[in-house]
Amino acid sequence: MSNYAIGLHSARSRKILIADDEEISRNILGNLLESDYELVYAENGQQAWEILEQQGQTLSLVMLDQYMPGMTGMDLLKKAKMDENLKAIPVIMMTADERSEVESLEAGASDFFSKPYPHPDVILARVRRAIELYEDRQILSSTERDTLTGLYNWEFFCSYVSQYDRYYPDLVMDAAVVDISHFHMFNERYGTSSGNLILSRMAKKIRQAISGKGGIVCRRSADVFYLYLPQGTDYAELRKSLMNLTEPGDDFNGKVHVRMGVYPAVDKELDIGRRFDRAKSASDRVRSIYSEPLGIYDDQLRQHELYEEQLVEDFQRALDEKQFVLYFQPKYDVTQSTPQFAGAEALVRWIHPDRGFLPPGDFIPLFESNGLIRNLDEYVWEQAAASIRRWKEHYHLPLAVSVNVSRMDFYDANLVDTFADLIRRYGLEPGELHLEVTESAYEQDSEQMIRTITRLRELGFLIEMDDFGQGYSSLHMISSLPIDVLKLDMRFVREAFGQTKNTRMIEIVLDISDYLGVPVVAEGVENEEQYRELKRLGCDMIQGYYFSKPLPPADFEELLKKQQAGILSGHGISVDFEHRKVLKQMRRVTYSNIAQALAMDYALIFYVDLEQDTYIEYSTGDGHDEFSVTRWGKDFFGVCMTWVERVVHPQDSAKFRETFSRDRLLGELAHERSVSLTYRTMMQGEVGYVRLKATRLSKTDDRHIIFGMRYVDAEVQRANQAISFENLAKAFASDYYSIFYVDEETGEFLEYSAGRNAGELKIERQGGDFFTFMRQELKENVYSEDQDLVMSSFTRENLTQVLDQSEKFTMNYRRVLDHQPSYVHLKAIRMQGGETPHIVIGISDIDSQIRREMDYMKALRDANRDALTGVRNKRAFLEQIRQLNGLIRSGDVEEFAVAMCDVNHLKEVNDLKGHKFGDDLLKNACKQICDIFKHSPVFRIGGDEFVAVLVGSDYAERDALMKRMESCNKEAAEQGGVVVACGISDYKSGTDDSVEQVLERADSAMYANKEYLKQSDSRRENG
Amino acid sequence: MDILEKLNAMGVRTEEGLARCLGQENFYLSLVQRALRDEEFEKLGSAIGQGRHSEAFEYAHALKGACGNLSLTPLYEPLCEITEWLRNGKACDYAPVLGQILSTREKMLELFTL
Repeated sequence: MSNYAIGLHSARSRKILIADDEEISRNILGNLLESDYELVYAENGQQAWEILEQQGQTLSLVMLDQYMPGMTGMDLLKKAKMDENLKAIPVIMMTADERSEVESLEAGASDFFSKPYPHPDVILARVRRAIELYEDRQILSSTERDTLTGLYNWEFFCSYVSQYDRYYPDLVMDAAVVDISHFHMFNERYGTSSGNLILSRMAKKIRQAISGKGGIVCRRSADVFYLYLPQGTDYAELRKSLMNLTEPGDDFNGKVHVRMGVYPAVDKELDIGRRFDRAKSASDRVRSIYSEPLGIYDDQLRQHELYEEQLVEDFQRALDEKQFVLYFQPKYDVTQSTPQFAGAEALVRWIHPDRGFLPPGDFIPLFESNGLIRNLDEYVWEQAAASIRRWKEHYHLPLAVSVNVSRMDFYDANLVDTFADLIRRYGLEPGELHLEVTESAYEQDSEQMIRTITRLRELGFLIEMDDFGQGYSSLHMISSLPIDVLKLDMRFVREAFGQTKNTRMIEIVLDISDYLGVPVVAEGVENEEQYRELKRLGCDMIQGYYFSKPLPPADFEELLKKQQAGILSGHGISVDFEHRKVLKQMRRVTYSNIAQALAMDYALIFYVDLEQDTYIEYSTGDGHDEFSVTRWGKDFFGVCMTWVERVVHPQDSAKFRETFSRDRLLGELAHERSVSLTYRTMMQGEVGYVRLKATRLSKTDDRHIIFGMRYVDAEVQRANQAISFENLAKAFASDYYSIFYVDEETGEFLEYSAGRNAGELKIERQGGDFFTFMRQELKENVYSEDQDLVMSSFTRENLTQVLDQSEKFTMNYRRVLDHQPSYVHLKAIRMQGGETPHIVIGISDIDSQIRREMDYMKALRDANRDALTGVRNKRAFLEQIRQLNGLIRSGDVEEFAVAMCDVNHLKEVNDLKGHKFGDDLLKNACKQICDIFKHSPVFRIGGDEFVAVLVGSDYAERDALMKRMESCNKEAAEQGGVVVACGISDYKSGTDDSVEQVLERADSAMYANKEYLKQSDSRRENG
Repeated sequence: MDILEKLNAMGVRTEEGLARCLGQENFYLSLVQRALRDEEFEKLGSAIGQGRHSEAFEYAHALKGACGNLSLTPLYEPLCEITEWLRNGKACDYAPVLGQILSTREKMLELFTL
């Protein structure tokens, strides 16, 4: 039952169902209750059941005659108590047969009246009591439980943990944290509703797993659960039992990766938050270790914790004493024949008076986790800006320095102003300060982040996406992000020059940067070999020890002096596409190849060089979120044949051998673009289905073949659609249902579709005059309301103009699909990679995304809004009470008052003139209340009841506002307008310990006002 | 002597019945009239006369509820008796009690027609 009740204990607006077949009894009860309650009547059991089903959500009480022809009151009671949605509504049974009292109460009735009825006062008191008890219970359960999972919320969890400790002081307890890895990706992939389903299943599983062990559990945040349970649990086993949340009929893969941290045998002297911080730090320690998903808080962690506590303690002093020092690591533009100094990244170092030089890894993640990074970042920005200013003056050099902006910084609503103010104070150009934002930061709250970053870019700041490739953002998202530079994650550089010597991932990043039209900076370049290879592959900028380690300010100035003697450009970040073009041709990779590779949806890809008889294998690992470039080797066809013995199902081996023998396959590929075979595998005794497909790279390329292997067994396939960089790349192309590759000069075009069969990128259409073709297409397919907009925007001139000025042209519109408008996103960019400039246009289907967002926004609005008046509803009010009570408890509450309002004569208007008039009366009354308390939130909490929570200027002027209300009422009474009884009461700091006390006083004041208005009314009537 | 006093004199506990109606005389008397004019009295008579006891029980039960809540004791008491008999399917002579009910009802109704 989800009635949202409020504990005001004023009865009006509660609704009671009276079910009695006998009219006189109904009338007597009705007469007794109608002035205090809204009543609905049923003349028999069946009718009562129908009302219960339709209006159950709004009923506060049911009064049932036990004996009714047909369905009796007792039948109805039993039926209601079986119904999940109705069972909480209190029922009072009424009968002449006192013997059935026990039976009624046992069947779940809250109370019992004998007939003939007892004294009216008794009835009123018991009705009121039954409703109060019910509402108190509702409030309790709706505030102590998390609505999604039904688990305790954190506040109540804490109070139960303390109770637990009081009752079982000698019991040894563990604190454990359960965390679903990369849960936001699950949400992104399958939608929030599937995500919510997974969370509630997880809650259920945890509850089942710990039931009988005597533990308690809560949901701490989105996908993080806290468990408090007696020692003796096998956590490895528990963790395993939580990994599979699949249920029959799912249209998503319910297997999740779960990480756990345990702080065993907790120190009960520690406060509860600290106990779970320890479990959390154990869990965080194993965050990146896929094979070890269970972390235990041990002495090593404790020492580390103490160390970190010390650093936090030293932080403020370190800031004051300027112990933090900026080092500058130069960046070099390598697109020319000799590397050119092109700017620097500011990096912070801590020279600790006792501990010496502290590596950033020791304190940056720590300060990121506790919010101190905000202060540190601001300090760094300030120092960096001051340095740039000084160097500008001394060396007259334009110089771009990049600084890091942490995820936490984006929670500051004034971030844009902070930067604008910073460059103003130091007289800098916005382009002189580059802002580095890590890719993982974008994932957190992308919408707000994108808004902020877009504003910063509008001001002229350049945005560098740091650690690109490390995070898990979807490529669809990346392509819509406002960024100016991609910084390649150092890990890729390390991997590329590690044992496997594989640079494929870097190449993919470069191809994406081409697509986005932004340059790439490679970090962590340590030696000449790396530098030469990265330059050869087409990196635009290099940063790393090979050129220079991060330099203390004095040394960096030395470098500047040298540069001053020579030539230097500090704004040298730009893409030299000519340079790229040459490199591209060397790599013999063309756009269509890339698009094709991106569109693939394979678990394994083999890139086979027939001439050299070598191959490279790319694969997703066994884990959910790992990607590895698996291996490379010689003699692919030989390897292929070893599979026949090892994994191919005996019944399919002959066919496999035949299809993938070298000579046979090359013969087929001479006249076919691709050859594929679906076969069965046997692995660990289980049969799976696999499709292997061989494709020539291009018509003119006889040298390379790509083999793609795909698990077509649906579940295996899903499990292997890991969250990896390569998958993101795949998603990139498959996000677009149509991709046009247009020669900008001739208008010749090819249309690719990455549609229905994943892994296939086929040419849909081709033609000579793209713009005529496309405008015709749009004319036929665009939804009528969007026609004008689309036709005026999508012209050759406009497109060319936009692309001359910025790197992309985008537009959202609705096309007509199955006679319905459906949202699509069109994006165009210019590619300089070919012999002549080409425009690539991708069209993606964003309908479900937009509709989901619209639905979500609407649901969000609706859930907390009263449908009639548009002000916030009772549910929102309950939340407001909860928040205020929290502030009162913590002592952080600011002064406030509550205005309780009640619309006079609503019932009469409803009865005499009908509900339409009643509704208008309510709307007008609401408008009046909102007009008077215009700076305060107004809630409709009952049929004719409104509450305003007065803060700020409304609070200061509450007496004047009350006077205004009174004069409005006076005028209304004379002219027949809306009269609103109103009572205001202040929160009395030090005396009131909850909002309810304030509400009760406001309620009494309102009643007094109502009485006064009534008397004025009759005085007026009597002349 | 007004109707309330006359009802009282007949044994009706008007004070109690009025209390259930929050002391609203007019409301109480309108309910009393409605109860007395209820056709279920006639239906009760004919159901008993024709031996349809379970149907008769329904009528008696409903009438008992109404009369009880209005404290029409001279009707309520025999109605209780007859309801119990009917509930148990007792084979007995219903006529005297039924006669008493119907004549009391007539007498009370007369108060409203005078």
